[in-house]
Amino acid sequence: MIRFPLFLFGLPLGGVAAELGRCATPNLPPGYVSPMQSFPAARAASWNVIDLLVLAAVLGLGAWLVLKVRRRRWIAGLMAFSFFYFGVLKGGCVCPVGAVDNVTRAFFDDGFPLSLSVVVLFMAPLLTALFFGRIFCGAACPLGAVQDLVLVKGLKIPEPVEKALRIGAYLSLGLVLFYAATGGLLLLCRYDPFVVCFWREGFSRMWVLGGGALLLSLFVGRPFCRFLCPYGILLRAVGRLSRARVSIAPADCNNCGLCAQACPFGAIKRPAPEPMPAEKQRARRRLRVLLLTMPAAVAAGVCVGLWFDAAFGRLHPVSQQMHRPAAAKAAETPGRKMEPSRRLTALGPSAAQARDAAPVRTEVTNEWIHRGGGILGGALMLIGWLKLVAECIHWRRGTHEADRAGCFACGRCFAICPFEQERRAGRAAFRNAIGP
Amino acid sequence: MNRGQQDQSRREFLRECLWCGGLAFLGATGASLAARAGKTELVWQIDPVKCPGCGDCEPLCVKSVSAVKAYRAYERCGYCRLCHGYFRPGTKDPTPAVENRLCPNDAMVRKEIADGVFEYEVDESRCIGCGRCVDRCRRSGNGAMYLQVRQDLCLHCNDCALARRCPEKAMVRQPLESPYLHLKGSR
Repeated sequence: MIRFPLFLFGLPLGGVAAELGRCATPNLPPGYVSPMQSFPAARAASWNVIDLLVLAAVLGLGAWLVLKVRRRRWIAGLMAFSFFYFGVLKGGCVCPVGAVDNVTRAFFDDGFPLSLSVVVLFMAPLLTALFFGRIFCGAACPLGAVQDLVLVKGLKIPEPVEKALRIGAYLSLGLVLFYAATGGLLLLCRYDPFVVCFWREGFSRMWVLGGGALLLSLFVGRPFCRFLCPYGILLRAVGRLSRARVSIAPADCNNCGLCAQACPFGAIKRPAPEPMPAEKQRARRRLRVLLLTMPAAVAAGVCVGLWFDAAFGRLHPVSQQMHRPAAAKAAETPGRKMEPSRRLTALGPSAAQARDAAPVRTEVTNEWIHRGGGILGGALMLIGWLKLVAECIHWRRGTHEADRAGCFACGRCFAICPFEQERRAGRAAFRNAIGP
Repeated sequence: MNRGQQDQSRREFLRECLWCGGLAFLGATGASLAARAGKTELVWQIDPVKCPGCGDCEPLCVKSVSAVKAYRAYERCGYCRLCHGYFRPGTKDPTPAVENRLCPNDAMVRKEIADGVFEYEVDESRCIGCGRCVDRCRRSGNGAMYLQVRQDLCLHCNDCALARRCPEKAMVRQPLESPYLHLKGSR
């Protein structure tokens, strides 16, 4: 009864509405004070500065522990601290890994809000990697810490398989960039498997994803970091150039190979002797074939990417309307079924206006999804091909070395190195000799 | 200098060049991002003007109990005897019997402060943010109820599920210093 006239005449009939349900100004008793509801503040702004300072301190301390102190136990302790501080206490968001999304979106969309702390969060680990390697992964990343601390026994993954699986991380980086650039979706934040560990609450999908990822991390060393983390790819690229690197043996190395066995992440490169002339020739021939077929391979990648555009679009929130009209319709009438209630004022664009503008946006986005799919396919194929090319080139190496790109600076290798044990024993003996 | 040493020094030089290039690239990226970035930290908040009061904030929030809570704008409230935010639609006899109450979690508290004048208060510890009171008050009352994200409860997800799914895009980013968007205006 009440709703009918409102529905029919809408806003201008304030007078009718007042008769039907509105209340006139009541005579409040003298001296009456309304009870105030609380408006609790978020964490104070100074906390953001403190968070960044803590991150800087953890990165610095991590570099010192990895490069100078060389104690696995201390590094693991720092990991646990980072898990509790950045994960549990700070709640995970925004983490440098997720900041990839924000930064990309800000790059392509001028209206996207980007705060300075996110920029610092994104840049600090990369700059650290340029000087000291991937200290962030080992010491400061809460996602890495979860996986590293639950690892029981790392399964050895053969090198070619490892390299092939790593394409997954490139793919994930590509998808993250792709969805963020087309203004759709913070893919990484949405499918972050470990955020449940920090919040201890979430949707059932997140629990399943988190549980599965944790189970996998028990027996595979840092599966997310190695095969899925898009930020890890950026850190790999920068870490490759790093000034300092983890030195496994303190001074000499006798190639005992214990470190390579201890490393659960396959990040230790074994010594590579000079290849035989016949082998060299074969490599040269392979290189020639690979370089000649590269354009064809990239073109094939582009074709496959273009072919997959519908699949990409299905996940894209703007394009969804085109691909899944039923879902879009369901999204328009969510939750309890009711007509949207009367808007308070006429400020801001109405729902109807927004919906009228949607088809144009959908079309433009779909075009970009199509194009983006091609770019993504081509880029992935190019990366895969370049990896094959790199396999043909001989990199001289005399001793066991930590791979600058793949090493997470977790400290397992020098904990097991016999020369390191000797150094520590020597130091202890030296201390004993001096006496108290 | 033999060939091996030459190779070595050439490799060192290349490495140095690449490193400097990397530093320049990172520096340029960082500087351009920093120039683009705003100084203030941002948090999620519901713009009460845009909010349709659809009730999706309750099930869609990642928290088991939504961080969105109902608020009452005291300047707008009519202190109605038959409060549409308190009573179920179609209530004939406005007595605070359980079957008359609209709130599914009994978070709205009614108190008579004078003859025929009632005060309504949201019990924040009970409110689940379903927005029923907001919707009803807007449809039939003074529009004094509105929804806000309680900043101490919000997890500040980078990818806020409510912002993603809000049919009216009412979830906006507010500066950390003034995170609430109070509903202003008189009755």
